[in-house]
Amino acid sequence: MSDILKVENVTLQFGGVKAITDISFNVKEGEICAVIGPNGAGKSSMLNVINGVYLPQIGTVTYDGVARRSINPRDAAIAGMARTFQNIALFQGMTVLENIMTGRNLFMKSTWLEQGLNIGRAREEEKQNRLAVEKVIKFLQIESIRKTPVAKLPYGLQKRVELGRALVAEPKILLLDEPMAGMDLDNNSYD
Amino acid sequence: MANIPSLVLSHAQKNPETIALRYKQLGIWNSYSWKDYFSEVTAISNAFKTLSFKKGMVVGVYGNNVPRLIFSIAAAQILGAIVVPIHPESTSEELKKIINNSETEVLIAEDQQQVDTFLEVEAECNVKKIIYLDGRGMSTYKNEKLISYDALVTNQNTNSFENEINTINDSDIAFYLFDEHEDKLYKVSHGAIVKNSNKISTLNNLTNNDSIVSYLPLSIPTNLLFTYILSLSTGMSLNLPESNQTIEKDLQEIGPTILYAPSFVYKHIISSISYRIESASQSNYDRYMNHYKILLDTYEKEISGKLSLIDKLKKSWVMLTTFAPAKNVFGLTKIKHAFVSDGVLSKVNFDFFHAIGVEIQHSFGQASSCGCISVQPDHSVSSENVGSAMIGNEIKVSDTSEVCFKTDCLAENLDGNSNVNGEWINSGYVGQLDDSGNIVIKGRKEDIITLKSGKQFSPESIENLISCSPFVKSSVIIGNNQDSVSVLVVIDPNSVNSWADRKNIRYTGYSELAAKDEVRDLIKEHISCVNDTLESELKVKRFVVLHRTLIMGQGEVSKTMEVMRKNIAVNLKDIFTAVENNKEKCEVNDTDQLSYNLDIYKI
Repeated sequence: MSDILKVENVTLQFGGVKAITDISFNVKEGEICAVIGPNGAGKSSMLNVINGVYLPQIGTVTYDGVARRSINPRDAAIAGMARTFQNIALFQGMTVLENIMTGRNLFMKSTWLEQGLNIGRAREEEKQNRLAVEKVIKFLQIESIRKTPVAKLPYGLQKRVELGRALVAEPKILLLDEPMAGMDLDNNSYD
Repeated sequence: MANIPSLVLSHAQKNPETIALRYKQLGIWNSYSWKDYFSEVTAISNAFKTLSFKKGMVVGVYGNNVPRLIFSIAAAQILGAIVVPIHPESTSEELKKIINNSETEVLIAEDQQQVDTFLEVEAECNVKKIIYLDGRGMSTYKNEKLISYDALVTNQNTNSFENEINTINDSDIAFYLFDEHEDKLYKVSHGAIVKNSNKISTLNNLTNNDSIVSYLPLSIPTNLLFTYILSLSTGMSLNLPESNQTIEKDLQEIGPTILYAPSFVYKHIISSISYRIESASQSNYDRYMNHYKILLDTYEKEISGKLSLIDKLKKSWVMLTTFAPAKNVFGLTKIKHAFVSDGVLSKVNFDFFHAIGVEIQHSFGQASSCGCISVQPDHSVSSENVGSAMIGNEIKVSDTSEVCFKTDCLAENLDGNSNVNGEWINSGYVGQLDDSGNIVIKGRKEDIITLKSGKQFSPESIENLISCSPFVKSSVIIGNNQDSVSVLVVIDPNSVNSWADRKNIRYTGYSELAAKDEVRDLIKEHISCVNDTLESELKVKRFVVLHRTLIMGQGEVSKTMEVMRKNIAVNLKDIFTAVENNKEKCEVNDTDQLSYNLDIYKI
């Protein structure tokens, strides 16, 4: 298996505070890599460096064979990077289904007007993408809450929804920030 | 002729385009007409023929209600095979017992969960093939007995098997049904179970325009009769929900006309209403409580024939503004008949359903009587009885108070009938006949409790009263050789959680909530109310609020959520010992290897 991600000598500073100091590691395709450390160790900052939110002062990140120091989030998503957040970043007023559908945005070619009026190619795209979303809903066993607004759900379930949104993007690399926080035994054990 | 495959064929010929089966998959309802149903069944039969299915061969159908498992039943029976429905949550020990006692040769399993359970006991069973429907997670399995269902049914012959169907006799065995309470398998013939189903449909005027939802596994004998067989004998559509968690929404979308469920499901509906009301705003909470009182008041007047015009207007108003929307949420709007088995509803719950226009009909039956021996008639207003014997059946109460029956739809025990008493079959339940000849079931004979004073009683009669509270999930009476009656109470997590939130009670989990003084007081108040209705010797004097719910996987509740006393007494022996020794506290070393300190409260 080739390396999908290579982090080399990355150092990240916020003013005088060093969040990450000279970190290097590789991740192969299909590999599960855990970043372990106490609070404030820089785990989330490391993920933010990988998906381009932060720009490291020193070092490079090579993703899918392309070395770069920065990438904008849309390009990161197009390149097959998806992530979940420690502080949940879902659309609270939208349902579970609608939230996960936003993860399919990159697969839709229709314009916002076609989508808004549900005409032309938007209808067919909606069907195809809904199918992909439903498969993930089944996988995560959240069928019973698909029409529930996210704001009504407990933290653990919101984490699952966020994971669902990341999975439907069919990513090459999945960055999970504190994936087990707030989950009970039932949530931890699905696989 | 009345065998199961012939019923499918008959509907396919007479009503080919009528909907036979609906199932929800990936959020969308799909359907099979009777023509599609028959063609699916024959396609699977052709596939099974390549595995040398033959007459008398025993096939286990192991999983939830999914279309391909449903089709597999008739498909195997076309080739003369006998089907053993097995509960998807069966433990490996129970599975081994069923497979070995029935001499199952082929197992049709739903997914990896069932396959893994079987593989635990594979070496001790004589199963030759395992056909699995969903292969997810099993790509690395090397077991040669495993066959993918999809691979099996691809590119098969198109024999329609009409000749084979005509050769099936009514007396041929269709199913081996497992009775969990008796721990025995029963032989059920095609003719007997179809005849029993016809009795129910004739008694209640059921037609092919009706529809029914089956959300419990077909391994439960009463569920097999009231959903799968009833849909085949009448031609009504059978609807399969997406999952156990989506039942409420699925019922609402389907709006069935017939509902069948064990008593715990109806209790769950009441608890769900209570849970929502406890979470509602104060004004909505007050309005509901006020309307609930009006509803029960007007219902009482209605059954005593004293309903005035003002009362009628009051009832119409509360129905329109509160209970009709609630009925719709639970998919009860179109219900014509709501059959209950495996226990009876308490009077307050029974009256509630009748008051909102859901005609609850208690029934009584076991595997030995093909699932049903008596059913209450429509518009019955008594919550105590389970109806009188259906046509072709006779019921009597023996000298030992045991309910005995004769039926023309008898299922014989696989090991010979040990429960036969002359011409009569012992049901294993004690009861009595009321003035109208209806049977009143008191409880299981083996569960009868004898106090130190010699007073005998059925614990179920008190447990039903205690469990009728929406805050109580289940209860277990302790009292054998005791001076007084004590009870183990399991709180309902949903409704007690909402109640605690409303009262600003802080807790981190179930066991902490169950130990709260406020919860103790809530349960104590309810038991005191129940005590007011009991004779002095049977009043509950002490209670324990259990730190967890009862677990099906450990045999503490049956597949229909009835308490299994023997197993509870073993798993929670510390509590039983402390109660029996009049202690005020007890330390429980539970099956999860943890230790809990519980208080034993006095009333």
